[in-house]
Amino acid sequence: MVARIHTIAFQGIDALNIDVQVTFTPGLPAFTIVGLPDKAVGESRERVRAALNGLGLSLPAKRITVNLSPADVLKEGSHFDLPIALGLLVSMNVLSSQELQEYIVLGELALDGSLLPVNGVLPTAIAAFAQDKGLICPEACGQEAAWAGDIRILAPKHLLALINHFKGTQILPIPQRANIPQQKFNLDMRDVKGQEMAKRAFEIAAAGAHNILMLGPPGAGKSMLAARMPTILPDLEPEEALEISMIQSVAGLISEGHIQRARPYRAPHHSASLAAMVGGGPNAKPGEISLSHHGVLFLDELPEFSRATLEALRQPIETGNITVARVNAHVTYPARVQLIAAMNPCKCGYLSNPGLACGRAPKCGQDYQAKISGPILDRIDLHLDLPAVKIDDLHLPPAKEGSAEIRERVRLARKKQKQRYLELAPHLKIRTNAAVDDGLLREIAQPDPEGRKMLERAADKFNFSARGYHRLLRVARTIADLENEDHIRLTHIAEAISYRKISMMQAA
Amino acid sequence: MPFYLPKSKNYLKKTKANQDGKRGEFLALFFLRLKGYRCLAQNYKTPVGEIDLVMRKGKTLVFVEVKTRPSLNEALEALRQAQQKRILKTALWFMKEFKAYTNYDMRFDFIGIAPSSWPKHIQNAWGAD
Repeated sequence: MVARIHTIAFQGIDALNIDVQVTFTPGLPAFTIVGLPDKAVGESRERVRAALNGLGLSLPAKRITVNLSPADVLKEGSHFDLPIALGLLVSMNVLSSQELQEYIVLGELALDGSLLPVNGVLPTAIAAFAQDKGLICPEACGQEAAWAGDIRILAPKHLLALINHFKGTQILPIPQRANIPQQKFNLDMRDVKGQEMAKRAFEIAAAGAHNILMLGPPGAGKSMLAARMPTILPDLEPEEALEISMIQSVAGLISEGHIQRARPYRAPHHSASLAAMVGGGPNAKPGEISLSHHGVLFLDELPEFSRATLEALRQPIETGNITVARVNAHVTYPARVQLIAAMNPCKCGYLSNPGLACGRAPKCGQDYQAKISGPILDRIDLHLDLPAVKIDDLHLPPAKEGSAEIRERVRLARKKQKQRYLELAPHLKIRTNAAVDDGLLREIAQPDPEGRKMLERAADKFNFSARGYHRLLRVARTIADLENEDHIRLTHIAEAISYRKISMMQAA
Repeated sequence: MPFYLPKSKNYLKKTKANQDGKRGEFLALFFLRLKGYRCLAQNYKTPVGEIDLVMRKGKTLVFVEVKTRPSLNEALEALRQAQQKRILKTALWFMKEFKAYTNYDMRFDFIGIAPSSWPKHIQNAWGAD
């Protein structure tokens, strides 16, 4: 008789159903695992043998074959231990096969039979929910799995507890969703003295999830502003939180079963490699751009990033997802990020200040800024000039408005956007102006006649690209949303144009 | 003395170790018989190797290697990987030679023998993986 246990293999954040088949045949006693297992899966043989020994069960002296079907998909990860062990227990008539058919099983075994946490429990739980099955996972992952919805979850600490549960001598507690710690920020926009223009630009960027580039001398407050961006972004919606947590689950970043509540804020160092940024490795793990999905990707010192790394961001910024192709995997991860970039105008940083600038200005500035390619600049909606802070400004009383007030306005603007897109294109699940496609944008961002005239003049004069033109419309739409206006007026267009620099040198 | 025999007569009187080994194998056979195993072959020799005891119990063939040493621990440590492989090959040879046992399960057992201790029988001591 062949015992069958359901488990899962991961392709990106997608869960692929895997059938673990166990059979005993006469012949030389041997224990083989077939079905393209990688090293960790192949070694599970020894862990399973030891764990069963720990329970006082020894494998029968038969030819034991474990098949992971479909056989042409590479199986990796340590979560196959538990399904293999359960398959053996079914074959040895310790457990009944019928009960286990209702479950998807994953978990790693320690040599003493206790269950160790594994990655990817949340996507598995969601897959189980979709297939109307239960889930058996290690105790440490139970809370994470509970987020997937109303499914039967068995989260034993030890293999023995699971066996006892099926024998009816012990009842496993149902794991509860972990309480999410309320989000608390130690930072506040109020900490930033002066720079009111920048704060306004950040508010617009936050409201429409626009990309923003800050250009300014050292010490102007670029990193400070960027670090405060999460404090003015609205709370995650449940769907967004689930998407983010699925990526983190695959990357092994979920801690203590907490689902992600804060918007991701990732600030990779400029030495980051291409693979670290977009995802990679032999198994195509998610990169920074996917890990900051629905959040902020902050690239400080933009020109210092390697050129290839930056150019790789072009496509995901536009499409909101990234396809990582490797030998063993071809995976698409979501990558709807808000890019915040900061840079100095030149190497010494003081290009705009003749008193401090080095002798090589302005040639040095041209060279430095030329490191950022046009296509990347074109994809950034808001170009922001950050002048150095005057020392006098530091002694000003704190600004009246803090993050809380800005955040409330951002929340309302986002609500307006979400409602609009829910009415116009409910199937696309668009939430922000940044995510809307050009066709729909032209419909919803019709400027009034004066605005149109100004827009045309500006486009003519500054030679906007088609993308630049649409990005500008998007920003104007967000500005109008912030004022709760349905139509885009001249002032909105004007403000949007003011955030769009035509070339870098002009900014400097 | 016939010319075809070696000059030394050592071949005639078996060494002490050899005698102990033979005695151990006999003990092991006796022990297994008490446990209900039937003996199919003793010192089954083939070109690929030798098996001390081939036993049968129910529908299971048991290939047994017996080691006799001054202490039980030494006996248990005496079975090397290479010998395990050799016994596996010999067992397959046996299966080819005696087709009647084709559908029997195979098992490889080990028995450690040491003076003044009960024989140590390890069932399913190794396999083909």
